[in-house]
Amino acid sequence: MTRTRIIKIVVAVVILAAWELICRLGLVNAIILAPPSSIVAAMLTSWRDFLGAFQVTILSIATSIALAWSIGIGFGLIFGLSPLGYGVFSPLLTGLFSVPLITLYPLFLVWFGIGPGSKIAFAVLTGSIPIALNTMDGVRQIDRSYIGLARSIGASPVQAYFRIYFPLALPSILSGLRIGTSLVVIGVVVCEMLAAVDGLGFWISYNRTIFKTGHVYLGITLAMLSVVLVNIALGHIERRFGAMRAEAATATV
Amino acid sequence: MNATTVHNEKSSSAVEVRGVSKVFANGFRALDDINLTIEDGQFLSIVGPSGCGKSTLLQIVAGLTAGSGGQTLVGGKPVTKPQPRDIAVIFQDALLLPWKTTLQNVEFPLDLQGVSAAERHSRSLEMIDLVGLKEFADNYPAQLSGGMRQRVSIARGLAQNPRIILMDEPFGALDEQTRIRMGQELVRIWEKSRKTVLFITHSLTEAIFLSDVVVVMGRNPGRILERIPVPLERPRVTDMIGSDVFGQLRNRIWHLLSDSGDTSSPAQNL
Amino acid sequence: MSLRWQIRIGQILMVALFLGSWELATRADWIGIDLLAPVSTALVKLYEMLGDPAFLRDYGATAGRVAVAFAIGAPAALICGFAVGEWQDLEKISRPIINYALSIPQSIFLPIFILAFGIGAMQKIVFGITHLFFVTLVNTIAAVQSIPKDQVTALRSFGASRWQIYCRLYLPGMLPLVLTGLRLGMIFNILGVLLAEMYASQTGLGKAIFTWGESGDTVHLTAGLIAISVSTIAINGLMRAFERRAYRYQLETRSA
Repeated sequence: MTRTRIIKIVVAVVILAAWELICRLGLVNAIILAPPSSIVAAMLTSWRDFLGAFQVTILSIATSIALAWSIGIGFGLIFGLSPLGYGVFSPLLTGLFSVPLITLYPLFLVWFGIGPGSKIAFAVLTGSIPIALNTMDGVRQIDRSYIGLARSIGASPVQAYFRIYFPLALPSILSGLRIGTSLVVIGVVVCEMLAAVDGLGFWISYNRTIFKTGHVYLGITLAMLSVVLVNIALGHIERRFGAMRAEAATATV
Repeated sequence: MNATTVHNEKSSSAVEVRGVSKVFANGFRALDDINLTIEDGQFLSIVGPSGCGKSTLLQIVAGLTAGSGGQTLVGGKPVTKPQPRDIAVIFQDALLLPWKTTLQNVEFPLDLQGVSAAERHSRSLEMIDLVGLKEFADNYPAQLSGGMRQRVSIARGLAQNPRIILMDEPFGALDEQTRIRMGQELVRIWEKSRKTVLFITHSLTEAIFLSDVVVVMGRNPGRILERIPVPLERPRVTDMIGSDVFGQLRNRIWHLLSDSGDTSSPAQNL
Repeated sequence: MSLRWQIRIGQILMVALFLGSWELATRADWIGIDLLAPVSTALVKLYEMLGDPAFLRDYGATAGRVAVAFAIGAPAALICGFAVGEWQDLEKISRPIINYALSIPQSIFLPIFILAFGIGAMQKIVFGITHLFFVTLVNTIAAVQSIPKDQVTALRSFGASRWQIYCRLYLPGMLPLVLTGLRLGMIFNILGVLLAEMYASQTGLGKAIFTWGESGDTVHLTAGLIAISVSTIAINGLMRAFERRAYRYQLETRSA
């Protein structure tokens, strides 16, 4: 229990207490800001519903993550290594990313109907672009001499990609995964808010329409919790490779 | 005194370069009719100014680049692509994989070739011992100095048990002290293993000290100026650097280079 | 052929391939009109829509909200960013708040915004501002902190006034990052406004495309998507051009 830890916990408790007080005193409209106690109440009364909704959302998120990671990393590895590939696709993808991709969601709805398909399509699209971009950057920064090394020791292209280039690009890839995965999680929830019949986003939206603000905040908290959990998981992966990698920047000469 | 040009005859030498040339897309003649022979177990250095094509020549012999003309033979067979079992390449950067230990790095080429775990383990340890890094077998590259990393790279090359070893200015990125020490290490290692070596360097001293033969190249176009055998005895010791023989050799090479119009390389006074 | 030309041709080829296969697949009915309209049809439709007052009203509504959000949010972010970057004490207090705010994905708070502000224009504007604010803020802080402190000291020792230091040193030094922050802020702003419109609105492009999607009107939908994409790519491209000029300007003043 370090000092900063204690301070952080104290600050969090103070904020929660102030939050509760502000609501109790009626300083803010109860419809807009629900006190922490109402979030807890919502959890106690409707936990079964929320768990069901959460499960649906988690399934879509998991599928989207798997797809976004593979597509993003795969694309980045293949096209990032050649200067031509990078020069062509990096600006194109960056340009594509400036478009508000959520506007494509209605199109996906037309294609896949309301359901996991359209959500996953959007989430995968939104998530794989930053992953691909960061992977390409990571691969591009690899010392060109490693290509010569790979060939001279007889690595087949597949071996070279998996065992040399991919690990070398890992730091960049991991930061891309952070961004992309957050976007996937948010993307799924937002899609559910826009048009769905179940899932966390739907429940948040539904409870808004019946003014159950406590439930709304519970849903949002759960969504944020998912993002936090995903980031923690990524942190673990980073640490596993990171220790050796942090020094990798200077290790080649 | 150039090596005689022999076309279409069986080669018994470790390396034979026949009439190799390299012209780049913009018309630049990097190499012009290079003929070179390296006998089995010979240590041959190439010195020359920047741009004389010595690295390009090494890349061609390694099978990493194609020449525009001529042929390269290693062990009597033509080289068209990399041959990890016959040819090991040591680059100027150690190019170790940062997430692997010394042992894992040395094992890596053997791992790729599917050599059994037991055999690659023992071969690698042997080479790590040979380069003097036995106590560092389980360390990561970040924990090693530049000279040590380069030694790991050399061990990796030796572990491939190749016919020939090509070294492209392997000590170029090291500071002077380390460079001298590495030179002594390399001589010791080579005199134990007696591999055929093609060694590229800027440094005349390094070339003479390490080699049996020094080939001097000039540029514009890249060509061989002269092939000079080194009459110093083995094992080599650093005292030889101050000897008359050494000095004469160095002068001879120096004049060759300056007469061909190239004293621009900064390392000529080494 | 030099690499630069290869890249340019490659990019053009990719775009052409994309548009070409889109057109081909939809015309040959491999992808039915009920799923996607051909590019040509959508473009024709878009041309029509440019004369349609309903579309123009929606486009204008969205553009207006984006503009207002930018006009309010950007200066606010720039001022706050400058203050935080320049004064260390302020930075120490704000850092944790900023970090927390950044880690919270604003988009999922949309229902709260509806509860608070209703479904009118103001809600969209506020939503856009919150999206744009933090991105621009962070970039502005970084821009201020990128000014080498020793250069400030040097100038002050020459007797330069505060104003002179700001104009001669801060401005060119900060410009590139500030412009990047503004551009990214704009992108997030547009995203926020459109998202809010898609979720709950009576007017606006977001609402329009959502309605078209629901009713399966792919022709209008495709046309609308093209309009949105082209607009944002154009805005992004324009702002990037400024960024690039700012970088060059920075290099020139650095060497001066």
